[in-house]
Amino acid sequence: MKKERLSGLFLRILLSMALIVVFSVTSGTNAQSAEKTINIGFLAALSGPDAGWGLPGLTGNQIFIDRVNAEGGLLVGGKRYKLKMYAFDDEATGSKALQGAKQLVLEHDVKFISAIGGNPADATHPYLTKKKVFYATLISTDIMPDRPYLIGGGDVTPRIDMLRPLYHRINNPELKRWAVTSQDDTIGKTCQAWEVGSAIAEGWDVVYDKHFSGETEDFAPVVTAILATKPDVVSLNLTYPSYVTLIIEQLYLQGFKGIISGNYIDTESVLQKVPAEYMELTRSTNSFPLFDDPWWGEPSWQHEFIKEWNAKYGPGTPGDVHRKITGIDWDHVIMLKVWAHGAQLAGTFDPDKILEALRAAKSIPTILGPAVMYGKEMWGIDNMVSPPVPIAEVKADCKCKRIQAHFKFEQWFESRKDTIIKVVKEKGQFWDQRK
Amino acid sequence: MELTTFVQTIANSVVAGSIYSTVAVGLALAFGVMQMANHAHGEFFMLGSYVVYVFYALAGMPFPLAVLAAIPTIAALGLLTERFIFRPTRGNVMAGFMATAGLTWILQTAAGRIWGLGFMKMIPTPYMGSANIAGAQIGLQRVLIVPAAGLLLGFYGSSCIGSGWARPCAPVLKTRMPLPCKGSALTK
Repeated sequence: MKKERLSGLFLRILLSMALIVVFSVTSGTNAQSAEKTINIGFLAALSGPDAGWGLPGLTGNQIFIDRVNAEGGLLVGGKRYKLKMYAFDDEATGSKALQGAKQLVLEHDVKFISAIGGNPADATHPYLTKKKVFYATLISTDIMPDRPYLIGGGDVTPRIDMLRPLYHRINNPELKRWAVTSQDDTIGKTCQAWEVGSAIAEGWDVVYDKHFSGETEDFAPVVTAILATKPDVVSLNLTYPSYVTLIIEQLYLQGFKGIISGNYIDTESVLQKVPAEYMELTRSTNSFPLFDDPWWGEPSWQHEFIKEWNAKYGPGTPGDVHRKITGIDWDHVIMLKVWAHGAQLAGTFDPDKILEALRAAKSIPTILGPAVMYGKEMWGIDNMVSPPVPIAEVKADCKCKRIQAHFKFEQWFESRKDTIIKVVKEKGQFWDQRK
Repeated sequence: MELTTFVQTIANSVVAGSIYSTVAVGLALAFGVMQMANHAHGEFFMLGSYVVYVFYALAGMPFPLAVLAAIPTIAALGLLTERFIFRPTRGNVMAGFMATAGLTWILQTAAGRIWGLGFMKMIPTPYMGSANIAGAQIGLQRVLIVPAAGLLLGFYGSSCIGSGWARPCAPVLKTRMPLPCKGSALTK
């Protein structure tokens, strides 16, 4: 009897131990699978006039994340990690951006943040540097030596703003007068300084170089002032996408017949306000081609991307965003892919090792072509990923943009840098003057 | 300054002045004549724009009809505001002002909820092209605002409901609207 009681007790102890072991293993498995998801952030204007550079980027990033997750996750150091994105609307303001950065890091432990940059980059970099979180800006002018984890360049700003004077010089050697404007915020001032330096280096007479208030609602007086200087080219530099539409409308209404050039022109919006023939007549030029452009070739990553985008976000789909694909839909994902590639090269998500691996790479594959880490002479640190820069013009027959040229930046810059940097310094916009 | 630039600048100013004057006439009518300080005045304009957006850009109604449709819609909103905010706070301008500050936030949030935040709405220009007026190029749509503002200003300046109300209609005003409280913004 006593023996039976003892064996019963032994069985109960054994069963309890087995349950504890099973529970521990299960818990361990859960913890392990939780570790296998890497969160990334999207901290940009999702509303307001700057939203044109932010909101569409969510779609491109999500397509990349879905692709990676469908393959079982991102293969880093022999293990696969699922990706998940969290977004925060910073409304292009520094204080909101800092709030968003803290929320993304503290609540979601993000390792990488897609952003537009400018004032939000200035506001968030001390915190994100301390936390060692990658912040991928669209605007390379945000790069500085004291922001080691801030990387940029996938979006070709401001290299496109520097190469457009070259493009128009090659195509229209007889033209002389260059006018440029943008809003009076951080990104407008810095990018415009680099464009003015490049226009001068390319032999243009810069006849108008002013900023308008970011609160401007009526662009008729701005355009009248520009046209009073009789420009051959009106460049809109890094003007907010919504404002680009309104300025081009005024250029059309006030009878400008020269060349319109800008960092980004959203064709679909602009064609609501002006005829496509006018856009072709003015050779409206920017650097955000469409991915359905035959120039990419077949098959191509770009054409696959646009098919996938249409299937996920096009008309009649569950994720219908009620607009056509824009150049910004793929703009943010360039740097997300570079970061993922860096993690794979490094075999870890350690930011220092990722940077080291990217800098050591002779060629980094990007959506726009092979890139290198560059920029020490411009930003004091080689944190700019520099792929080739496409230049596109609006065509009336398809009411769309088509690639006209593809430039490599580095060699051109080496031959012009003294003049350009001198102008940027005169305008007080070199990285060490902006601290 | 060249003559063309000068004329264009004058034309821009007349158009901008006309836009501001349409807003100002509304404010003057509400505050100056009826003694209602409507903090949500700007939101009334915003909603008027959204009504045009819905009827013209989304429903495909002709632009003039969409604009005409906005008038009774916003007038109805004005009547509701008078009935439920200004009438209960009559005689206390500050109370009406603060209550409509709340209305401001409600209308802004409602617009964001209904039509979404994000991009500027894509609205096709109803009248593409410009008119050459004495050497100034003005968009046809912008030209329309000038006579519209003139009509409103004329109405305000000459009618009983407009500034005339302060004189021949003064007895009506007194019988319908009690004077503001002592110490309120209007009595200082």
